[in-house]
Amino acid sequence: MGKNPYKPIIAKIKKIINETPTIKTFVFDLKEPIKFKAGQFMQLTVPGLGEAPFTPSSSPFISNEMEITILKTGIVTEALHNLKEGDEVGLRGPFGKGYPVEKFENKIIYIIGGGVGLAPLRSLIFTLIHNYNNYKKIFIKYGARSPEELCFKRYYDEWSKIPNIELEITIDKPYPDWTGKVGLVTTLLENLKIDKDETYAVSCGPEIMLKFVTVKLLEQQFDPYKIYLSMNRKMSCGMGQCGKCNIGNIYLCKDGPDICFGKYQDYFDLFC
Amino acid sequence: MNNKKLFTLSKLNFLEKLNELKKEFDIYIPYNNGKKDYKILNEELDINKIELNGIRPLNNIKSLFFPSTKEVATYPEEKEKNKITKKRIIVGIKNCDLYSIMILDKIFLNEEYPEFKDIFYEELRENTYFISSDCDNIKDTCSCLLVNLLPYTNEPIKNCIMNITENKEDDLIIEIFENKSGIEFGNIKNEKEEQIRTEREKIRKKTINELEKIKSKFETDIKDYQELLNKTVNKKEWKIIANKCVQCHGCINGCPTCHCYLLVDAKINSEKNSRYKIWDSCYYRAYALMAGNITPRPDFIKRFQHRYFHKYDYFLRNINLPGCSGCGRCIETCMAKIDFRILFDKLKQIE
Repeated sequence: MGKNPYKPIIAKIKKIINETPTIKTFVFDLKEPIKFKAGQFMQLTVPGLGEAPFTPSSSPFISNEMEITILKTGIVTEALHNLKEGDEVGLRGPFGKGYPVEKFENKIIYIIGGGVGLAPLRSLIFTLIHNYNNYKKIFIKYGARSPEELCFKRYYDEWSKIPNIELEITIDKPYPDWTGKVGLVTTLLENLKIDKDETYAVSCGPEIMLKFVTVKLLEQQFDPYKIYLSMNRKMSCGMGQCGKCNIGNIYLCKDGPDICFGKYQDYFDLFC
Repeated sequence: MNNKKLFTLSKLNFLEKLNELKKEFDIYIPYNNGKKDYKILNEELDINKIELNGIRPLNNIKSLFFPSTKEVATYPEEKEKNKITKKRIIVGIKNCDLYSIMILDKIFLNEEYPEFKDIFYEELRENTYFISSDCDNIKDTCSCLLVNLLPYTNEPIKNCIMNITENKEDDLIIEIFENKSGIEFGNIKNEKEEQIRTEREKIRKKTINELEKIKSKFETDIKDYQELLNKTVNKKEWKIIANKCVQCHGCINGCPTCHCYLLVDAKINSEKNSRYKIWDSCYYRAYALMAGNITPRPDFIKRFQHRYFHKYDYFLRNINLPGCSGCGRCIETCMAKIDFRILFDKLKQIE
């Protein structure tokens, strides 16, 4: 018998970082290193309760430790938020294809995140930063509901200092003491002057945001085959069998989850 | 030992041989006790109720390879697996069901990603041989011709070692395929293969004729389905048909190619958790429901359509084969009398 693809390996929570009142980053100590590409995802098990899919937020260049940033939103994530440092969880994966980083070389990349959606994108940002000279320009456009909902604040200065990275942040509504931009993340996408063949966009966030980001990008003549959306759906197996993540004939788990919009733009039930 | 690929054997000799083999194998045999089902061959069975011909049992063949509930992992420690101690022979499996096993092979043996192969399915599949049999006495739900399949085995799948055709003198015409099982038959009659082949053609032609009559009642068949779905997806007639469905999920549980599942975890005790793989159904609202009460198909009509698209469109795009064997279980099970053949004929009228 071969390896059992349903069995999780056990990982210990080394550290928990409170990112926002509802988002925590869990740092897992891995007994066996897990190699992954930015954008690939893991099935994370709360023992005895169940699994949910998450994309690591840490750098793929580190394999003995993994960080996963999680918003408290459902049964599994609530149980995860109740765990403490030293507790054990299960991990399966990685699954999916991840971001097509090789296609981004010498291109302009727009990284567009909303809320906890910056988590998988952070893994991509770490990957791009690793060889930042390979890319013409990297724009990071990030929005959250309020200043306190902004994730990974400790990295903003560091990222902004890198010569070909431009970081822009907005919050949905005005807040006292907030001097930055106000408005939905799509307001950061006005009047982009893009060269269709040279520009890629990668976006992760709530599905409603992905929908309006896509509309905005298409309005500005983005190539649908160069827009990569994290169309996350319910995923149980991660292996292209259980059927839950289908968008048309595409199994997001194995073909994506970050898959170009052009491939499924005609499907009749695209956005939730 | 005989080298003949095609020969005849009396039914009695065949059953005697199976009786011998049951020490070494669990033999699943179609048994008609008012309701046709696979039973494991044992002394208590009435030999007269063994029905090699006829059509497929109503019971779903997939459950012998992909059970409705299966413990697939324990953690943190992996328990010792119960190795299969006895190999199996499934006797009297029909071509429609062999086709669906081929579809399940594509899903669970995962050639694209061998590391994600379902090792439990593989173990059952590797340790099971098939002796297929021709259909006769077909029912009006039988739709193999509509999906381009035949009522007998013409392209045997792996481990399908032979096929039997029952002729009227209680003799069986046996065709041997690639047979690595070591199962051999003595007492074969000394006849010319050509003669047997001609006789078998006559029997097969009769069933084909009956199936042609069924097929002729419908305007559309598998070559039309994919296009019709895409042309009519927004038509209101879909709603009328979907509204008839009582959502019993009988068609999905009965379908030998429906393979969706859910992994469910349970705490057994303080040291052990189990993970189960259980059948799921895309007709359930909870099927693709995510945290935050979001689902891509909140309306039943979309879930209803999704299943038809999966079978007759997505399967074709992904593996170039339709996800339907024409076995007719979905029609036979449906209490709302939804019949995919009528559904597609209606779509043809409104396209």
